[in-house]
Amino acid sequence: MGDRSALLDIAGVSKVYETDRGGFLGFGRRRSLRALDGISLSVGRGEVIGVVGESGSGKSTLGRIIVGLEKPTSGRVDYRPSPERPGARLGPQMVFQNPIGSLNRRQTIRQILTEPFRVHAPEVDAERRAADLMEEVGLSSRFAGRRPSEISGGQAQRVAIARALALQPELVVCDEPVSALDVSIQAQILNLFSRVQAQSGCSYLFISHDLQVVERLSHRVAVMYLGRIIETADTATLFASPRHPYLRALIESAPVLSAGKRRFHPIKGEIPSPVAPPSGCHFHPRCPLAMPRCKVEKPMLRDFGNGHLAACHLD
Amino acid sequence: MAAYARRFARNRMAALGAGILLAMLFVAAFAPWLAPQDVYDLSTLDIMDSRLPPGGESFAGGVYWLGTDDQGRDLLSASMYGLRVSLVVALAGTTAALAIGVFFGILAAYAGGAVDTAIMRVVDLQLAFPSILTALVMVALFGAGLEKVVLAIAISQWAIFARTLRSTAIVERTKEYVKAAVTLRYSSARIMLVHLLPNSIAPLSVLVVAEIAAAISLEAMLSFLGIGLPVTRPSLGLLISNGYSYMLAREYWISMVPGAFLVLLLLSINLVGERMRQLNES
Amino acid sequence: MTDGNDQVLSVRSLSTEFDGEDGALRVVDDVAFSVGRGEILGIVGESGSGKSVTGYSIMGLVDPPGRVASGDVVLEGRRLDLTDDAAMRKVRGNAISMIFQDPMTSLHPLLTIGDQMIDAILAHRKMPKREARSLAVEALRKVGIPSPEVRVRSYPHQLSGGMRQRVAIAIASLNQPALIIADEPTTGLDVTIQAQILHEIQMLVADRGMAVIWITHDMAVVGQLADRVAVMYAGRIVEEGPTQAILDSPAHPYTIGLLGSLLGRNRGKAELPQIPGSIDNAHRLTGCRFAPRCAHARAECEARPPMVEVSPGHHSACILATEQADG
Repeated sequence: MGDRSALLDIAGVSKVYETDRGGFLGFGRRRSLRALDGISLSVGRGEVIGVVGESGSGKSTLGRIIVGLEKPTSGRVDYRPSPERPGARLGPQMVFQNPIGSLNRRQTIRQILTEPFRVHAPEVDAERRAADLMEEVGLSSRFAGRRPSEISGGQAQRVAIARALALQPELVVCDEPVSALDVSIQAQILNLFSRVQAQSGCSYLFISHDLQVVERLSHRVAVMYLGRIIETADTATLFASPRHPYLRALIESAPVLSAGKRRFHPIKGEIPSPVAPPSGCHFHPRCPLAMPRCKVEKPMLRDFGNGHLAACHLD
Repeated sequence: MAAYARRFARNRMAALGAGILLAMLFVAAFAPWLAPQDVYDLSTLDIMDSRLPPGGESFAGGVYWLGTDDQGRDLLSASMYGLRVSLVVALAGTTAALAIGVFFGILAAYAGGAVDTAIMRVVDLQLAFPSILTALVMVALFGAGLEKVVLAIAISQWAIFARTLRSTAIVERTKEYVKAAVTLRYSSARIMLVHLLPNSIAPLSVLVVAEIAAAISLEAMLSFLGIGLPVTRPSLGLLISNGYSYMLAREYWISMVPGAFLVLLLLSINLVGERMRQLNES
Repeated sequence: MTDGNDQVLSVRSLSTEFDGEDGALRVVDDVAFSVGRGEILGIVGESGSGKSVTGYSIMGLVDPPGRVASGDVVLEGRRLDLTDDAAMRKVRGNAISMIFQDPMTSLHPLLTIGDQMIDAILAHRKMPKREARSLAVEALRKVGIPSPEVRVRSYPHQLSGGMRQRVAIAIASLNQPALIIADEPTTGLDVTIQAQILHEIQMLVADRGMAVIWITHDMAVVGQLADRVAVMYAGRIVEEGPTQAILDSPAHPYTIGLLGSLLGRNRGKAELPQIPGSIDNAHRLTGCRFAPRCAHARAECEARPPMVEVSPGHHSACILATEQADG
């Protein structure tokens, strides 16, 4: 990879956590947890990249590293915002999974939304900007004096989105932003995301376990399994012709509304623990098409044309 | 606020305690106007009236409802003033302890790592010593007197505030609103003061009440031992101490009257504090 | 509706109330449905629909300040008194079992899963412990847990989320219940693990003819798992019928709105249709509780609409359905 003009360029990022030694009197072996293993990704300006994975995939860790909440153990994260944009020096912003938990319960909505301006742009009229933001995310002004405990999950997520956008960042990382919301509210919030993205032209890194959500919003999708990206392509191609057996199983397992009643034939086995990942291709113990080579050799991402990359030994 | 008061009052004993406490606070605040005698004005004292039992008549014809002490001071008035002094000293000391404890507690929780470890070791060390021992050491080093007593209270109490606050703050620090503040590049000071602190302070409100009671006790102990407050502004402890030598002479009221005030004060504070803790947990 | 002989559970006039500051709130309001042998009934709803409380009510697990105000429940031909705790104890874990959303909270953290399963067996049947233990190992094997003889000595925190939920299913099926009530058991689980759990449930139903009530907010899961669906809103069933009929021709504005807002239905569209308004205060209404958010609301909606049949076995509680049925 290595896209010089990209807004965000990640190369070879790994994140290893050292766990406590445990064992007898603390003399056990130190085990390491490899949450991310050599991730390379780039996000262009105005682009929405979807990141899909299940538990243990490392997608949330990736999100945290991009916004700077954690530092990678190795690898490079280059963020190159346009210098003329006001939000340039602030770094990528984030929308979190738990809407009400991501707001300070002691502050009113008004205080939450004026704070970014009072801290970083004291010369602007913070009250007015906050009011504009509320309007932009479809929140009535009567919520301004309320506290997070007095509003619903959907409303809280609107506040969180408004706050993330306040200083006009060029990249917003969204970590499972609709998973905690009711189904009918999800529709409202996803609409909001689309609208905001189109108007502001900012880029998103949209992290989710839900394929349909990612399919709807993203231009390109990256699929993660146990710390590695195993496939990436533009959205249409990825869902039309998935190559990696894991991605195929994922698509196959996801309940689809239109298909009607059916028998479930899931892939066997559990998602392995990142502390003791399988050798070679992480997926080989569960893969119906595994070959002897898969146990030994880690598959690298190969280009199948048109930017469609997959990490699998099969042709 | 009103709803909290109603819930509080459902427990009859606690409501009674609160009532007594409020009455005592009122008395302490307005002692100079409520007390029948100004015990600090030596000209009002008559040595001929000394050691009168409760109900005894003064030379001037008035009644000493709770008796007088060896200097002719009306014990009711002396106790009211003593209450005032005891409360002021305890409140000052606990407030100072709160300020120090909150500062170090939130710093330890936010900074983590070596700073947290260092602060917590000092806290552990402080908590290993009983407060009376700490106070005695302070007095040995700096002498007795009002400021020294307040300092002794502050030094012996800050550690429990620091530790309690740090425990809560460490949990709050993992929550997403703090991560959001970090992502928004707010300053450390702002995150600590505006985000972490208000959300971590709740358990302290109950602790403060208990510590005020402890401060009153500590001051009383020090004054009883004669190394606390000066004689000119006697607290309840000093009054008790003063009257102690008369117990054998069966003039028990000189010690018991301020003693009863002290017990009543501590009891009511504890009842209120316990009820607050109960409500906090449910 | 299901055939009388094959009926495992029949519920009529079930109402559950919660006492609050402003009086009692009917969180389940006059609910009726039935489930037959080998049938999976999906109860679908969002927050505040009352779907979980319905499940708890049938199990007799409603604690004060809530109480079951009324209910005519018949299980395998016998009437159940939901308020009689002693009688319900014999039924719970025996004829009816329940699986909860978070197995970490429904499993005892300090007992091995073997011990918990033995407890569940011995609570209803007398047998030597050794026999109960081998039944437990067999049950674990049946739900696809590898090396069950070893796993039986594990503690819940040593297992993954998917495994724990399988243990919960194993425990629920130990005493050969006629009915299993599953309350959002796959919410929060990974999609591939969810598929495994759904597979296990399907096996149980196919092998033993068990009846299952699957409570969820996920229409897609229900669409692929359930034979029949009941849609709940603000404490009432607004529509019920065969799954395909409800998905193809929903007959209640809420169902239509809900299905319309789902991603699966809107693949090409720029904007997802959404249901306006919110559920606030709906529980206080005596008439149609969806009316404040409904585009077709009329004066007649101030009276509670009756359930009418719009096609064989498919019922809707809406004035529009009544008109359609009439002609």
